[in-house]
Amino acid sequence: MALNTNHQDFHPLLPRGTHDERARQEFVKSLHERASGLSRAEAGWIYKGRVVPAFQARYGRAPATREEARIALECDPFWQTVVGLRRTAQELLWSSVIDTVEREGPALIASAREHAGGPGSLRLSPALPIPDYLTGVDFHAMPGSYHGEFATDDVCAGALFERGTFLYTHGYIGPMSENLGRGMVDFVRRKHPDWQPRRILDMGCGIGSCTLPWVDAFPGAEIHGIDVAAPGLRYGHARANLLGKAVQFSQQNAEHTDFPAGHFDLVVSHILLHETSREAIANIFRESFRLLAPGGRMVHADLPDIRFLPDLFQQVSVDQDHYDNNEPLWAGYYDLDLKGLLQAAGFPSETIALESAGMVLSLPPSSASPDRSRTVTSRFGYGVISAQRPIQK
Amino acid sequence: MTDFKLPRHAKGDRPAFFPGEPAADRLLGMVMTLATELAVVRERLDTIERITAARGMDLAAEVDGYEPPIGVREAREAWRQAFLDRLLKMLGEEVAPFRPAPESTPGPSGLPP
Repeated sequence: MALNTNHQDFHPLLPRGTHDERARQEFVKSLHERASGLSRAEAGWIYKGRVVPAFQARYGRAPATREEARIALECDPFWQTVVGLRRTAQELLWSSVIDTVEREGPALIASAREHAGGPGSLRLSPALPIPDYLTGVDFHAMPGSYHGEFATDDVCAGALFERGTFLYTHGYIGPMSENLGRGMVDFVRRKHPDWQPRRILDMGCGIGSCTLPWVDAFPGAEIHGIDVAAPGLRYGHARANLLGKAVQFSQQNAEHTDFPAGHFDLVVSHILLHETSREAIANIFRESFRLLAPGGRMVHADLPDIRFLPDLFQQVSVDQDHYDNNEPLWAGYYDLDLKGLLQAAGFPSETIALESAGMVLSLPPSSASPDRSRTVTSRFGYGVISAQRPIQK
Repeated sequence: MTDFKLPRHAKGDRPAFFPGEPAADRLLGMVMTLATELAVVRERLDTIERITAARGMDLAAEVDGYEPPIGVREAREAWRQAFLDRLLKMLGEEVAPFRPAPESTPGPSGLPP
């Protein structure tokens, strides 16, 4: 197996860390990848070889549902250990980055102020309420979540997110955390090769790492990014500016924005939906419909539909973040009637597609091939929901 | 490279020290392996600092400014993987009897990382 030598591009906003902090982060990245392999793949052998036979001996049949399989696994000490290990690695991961962000915070805030001018813009709305689904729990166990502010003009949550999610994805997300956005650009281009949207909205854009590939793909288009959390927007605004990319950021809730109706040709989001709520998803679909010009399209990338996976262990392993990684909507997401919600939002049935898209993954560089821009697209990846507003009327 | 491998598992059942709590046995192994590795690194650093100090060098600034080239990144990741093998040895041994072949890929899930 190739060594995972993925490493991040440092830029003036990314927390740099001391030697020991970087060493700790590198180790935690390897530990987290190992724990993920043990709990999401290796435990499958335990499930087949030990958990299913034990269940059969007791009930005279194999587990028949995802829920039964998970409960059977939870009685197994190997499973208990490896899922505990992954949660521990997740906690170590965030704390290893928090050490750095806390110390470098004032310098990062100053750096963000320096890059406040540039091709893009930032419009903050401090009175915007933070929705309950964000205040109730810190998603993927990131302390402070997206919206926590601990200093004037705080950008720390953005810095923590960029460094932490790089480690969390074991660097496969790309040196500039761009791969998910690139994957969705590829998806849209494959389906609509000659289409040139003139105005694009990225909902729940966070630090804008997935927004920037849209700037590159459609240089003539006006690109907007919205999010409810100010620290990530300040960070993302400065980050886009220092990279010379024009994004119009504003602090807004994707459920109800202040853009005029029909303002966009394309509305996208990148793993936003499962970090909201059932009600919010319905609202986001309605708002997507309202914002689209006639003929405009929405494309939301989120969790894959795991129900088609034939192996119950695979379903449990994808689902496990719900149980060990502070993801309250994850397990219920697959069971939502997404198509029904889209129809209720106004999208005609024949324009609605629920598809899967592979993940664009960075190939780790090596001495033999040091190029860090090589990627591969995985077989299994995201669930992509797309729909079009009718051209007529 | 050696052309033979010495056994790393002592034949015979491993005693359970925490009846009904097998995870506690595992954790004891992991924590103690970790403590051993920490002691090794701590002593190596101490040796390096003493040798360089005796020659009038302060390494701190150079260490913090160090950017590892790709070859060093590879060597370090290889070391971390070997360390995780040692750290998580018991888990590897536990899953081994259920794997069709030791080097079998892809895994049962076939999922990306």
